[in-house]
Amino acid sequence: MPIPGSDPVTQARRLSAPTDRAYERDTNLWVQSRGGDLVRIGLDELGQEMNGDLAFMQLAAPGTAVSRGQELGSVEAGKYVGPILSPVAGTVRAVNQAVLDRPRLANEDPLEGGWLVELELADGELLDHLVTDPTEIEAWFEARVREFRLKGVLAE
Amino acid sequence: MRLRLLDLGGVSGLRSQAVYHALCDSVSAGGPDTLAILFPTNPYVSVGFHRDLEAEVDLSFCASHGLPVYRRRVGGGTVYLDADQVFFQLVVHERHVRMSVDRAYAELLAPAAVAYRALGVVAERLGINDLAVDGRKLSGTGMASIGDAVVLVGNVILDVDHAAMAGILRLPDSTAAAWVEASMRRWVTSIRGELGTVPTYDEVARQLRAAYGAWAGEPLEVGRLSQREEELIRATEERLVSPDWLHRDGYERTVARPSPVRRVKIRARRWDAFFDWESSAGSIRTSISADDGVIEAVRFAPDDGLREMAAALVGRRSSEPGIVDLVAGTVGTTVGLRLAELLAIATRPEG
Repeated sequence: MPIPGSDPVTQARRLSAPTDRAYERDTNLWVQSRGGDLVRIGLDELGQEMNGDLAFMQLAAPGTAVSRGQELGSVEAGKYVGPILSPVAGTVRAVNQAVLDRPRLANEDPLEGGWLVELELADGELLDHLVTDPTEIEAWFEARVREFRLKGVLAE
Repeated sequence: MRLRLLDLGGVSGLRSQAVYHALCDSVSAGGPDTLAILFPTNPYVSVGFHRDLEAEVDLSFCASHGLPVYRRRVGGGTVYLDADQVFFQLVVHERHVRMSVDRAYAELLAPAAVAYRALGVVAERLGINDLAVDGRKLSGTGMASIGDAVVLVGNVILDVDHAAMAGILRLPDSTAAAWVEASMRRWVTSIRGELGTVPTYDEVARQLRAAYGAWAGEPLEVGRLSQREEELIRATEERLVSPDWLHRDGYERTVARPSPVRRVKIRARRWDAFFDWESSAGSIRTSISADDGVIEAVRFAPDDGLREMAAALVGRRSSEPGIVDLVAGTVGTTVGLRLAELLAIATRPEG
């Protein structure tokens, strides 16, 4: 399902959240429509900031069906291992081998070349539980970055 | 923050891994935030969650030395663990650790550094997650998010068996094994190595308890494993010894393609690496050590016609201008480009 909105980029102190895609509110992942029921998923810029330099990654194999919140893979940075929880229900159709071979690609280019997987949405699965409206994305992302900085979660 | 203390003393190697995995399940189900302190009564090998078992571990060495191998759901490489290491395993709900990985290590490792100082060793954080004294690694640590819990695991190394640490690793040949062992002897230390004496387990546990109590803001509450936690530990032990978990068989996943370079992390930002490349004269095996990306030692075998190039590489970064020209000037452009690419992989400071 196409995500409404134009292409301006929401920027909040260096970090950006393009409005041509949707965002999961808590897990720092973006979901971008690729036409039809196909969506592409990646770490947003807060996600790559939170993890730091990624060293290892594994992703579900093509053909794997996942439900919302189910583990889609895992990342490792500084000997920390964290799960990638699927923001949508669907079936994995493609994985980005380039980012598996060189996970730092997800740090360097999280919004484009460092994408993680492409999923075909499950029947009836919508994106309306995500942050999709451009205006809302802008406000949500700025607030989230501000919150993280106030808590000292992110470096200034 | 209320934090429970589980002082478990000596437990089997398997249980020493199962405890924190099970406590993550317990905390996710509403159980208490916990600091577990323990040591393994038998030596074993632990391989990091994302690592390729066969590529990382010398399984025949482990079998011949009676060393079981367990995979952990925590990052990092392959490590040798034994009774001369006291483990601390902090398992808390993720709401206490909503911060970047770097900041989480800074906060959660600070009490361990305090405990080390109380034991007489001036430990400081090195890189993201090592505790070190004058650049020598004192403690290995790792973290993971498991369910709704975050776990930090680490060890206080009382005494270190460098030969075993290097012996468990799968490396290209005995020269590489000796190279890694020498690096570990230089850069991995212990309380005995620093002080000449070893504190008792009880003393280490006492200092860890005091330091993490200060961090929590109130004294730790001494507790015991609940019946449910005992059950979770037994179930985890079964999972950890299953071939599916160890070999990652049956897990439909996609991983990185094998690297042409075998890298061994000695301590934060310091690596030994080994790779082969094809010169006009045949295959050349390369051994290299780099600290923060700067080449400290490099050896080619055979090294006919390559000694000057090896000497010229020392002290330089493979990323700096001129490296391609340097190697291409010795081995030709096509081979030089490939060699420069391999050197860049071998010497990068990050994982």
